[in-house]
Amino acid sequence: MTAVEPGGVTGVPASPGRTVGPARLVRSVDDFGRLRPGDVLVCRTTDPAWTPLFHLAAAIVTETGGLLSHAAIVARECRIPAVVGAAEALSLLEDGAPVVVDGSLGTVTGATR
Amino acid sequence: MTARTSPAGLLVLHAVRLKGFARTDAVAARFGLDAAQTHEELLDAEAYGRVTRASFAGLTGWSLTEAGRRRNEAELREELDAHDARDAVAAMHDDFLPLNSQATRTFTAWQLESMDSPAKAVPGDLIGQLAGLAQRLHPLERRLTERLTRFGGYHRRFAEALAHASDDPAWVTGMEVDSCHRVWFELHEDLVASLGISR
Repeated sequence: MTAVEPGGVTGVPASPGRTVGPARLVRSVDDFGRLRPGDVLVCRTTDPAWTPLFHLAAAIVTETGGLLSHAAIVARECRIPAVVGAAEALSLLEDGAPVVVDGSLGTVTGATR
Repeated sequence: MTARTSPAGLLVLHAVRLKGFARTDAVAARFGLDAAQTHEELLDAEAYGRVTRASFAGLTGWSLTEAGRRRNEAELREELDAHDARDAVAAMHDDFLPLNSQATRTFTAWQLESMDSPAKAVPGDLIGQLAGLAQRLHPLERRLTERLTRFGGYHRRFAEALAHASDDPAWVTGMEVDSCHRVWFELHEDLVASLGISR
């Protein structure tokens, strides 16, 4: 199946690498327990409370921020792909659907499974 | 002007906010609080649904719930207003923002340069740039600590990280140590939380 429409979601390529995993839409700290190792963390923005999630997630997608944002800096430090400033990612991506995150191109596309 | 100290309950909740996810001893250490008292405060906050104890990646720690975040911001707002410190913190934040742009550019440039060779030594010009940031941070912090003592320590920690960075690149942007980036980002979070604004 295709998780997202062709073209997917695009944003700022913030931390290089390409990976696949289920999109996990996390809207607040109260949702943190839903993230599983290997998930693609999809969220609005991040702050210090979110840092431990970077050690679990396979990749990060945020709706806000740029190359200099907290999410971008922490993702590069954790060596996981990140696409930031991907407007409407929380609306366009489906929770649990497999996605391919390319942190070098800044793209999030549907994965075939 | 007399610098004010903050109540322990506020400091415990704020320490959890600033650290993001931390064990009881780290929460206590953030503002030099007694560990047993901090533990009690955390249990009270947990009972009110303001903090939660969670496990991530083999670590267990406290983090704020959404309710805790709202409570933290309400307490900080009341404190700023009670001590007539809001204008001073807002003015400091205005002066901090251009410095923050410079700092995040510096951190990002270093990460991108060192990405292919993680063990690379920190170049002298980067140390110089970070030292320049430390120098400008000092008077900014002093403007805050004249009002509220809880704002103290950022410059000292940044300078300590910088001293380590000469020998170990992890102290520039690393997540496992109290690196320059971690200290800087914590200050930004402190200002954002204190003023009740978003980044």
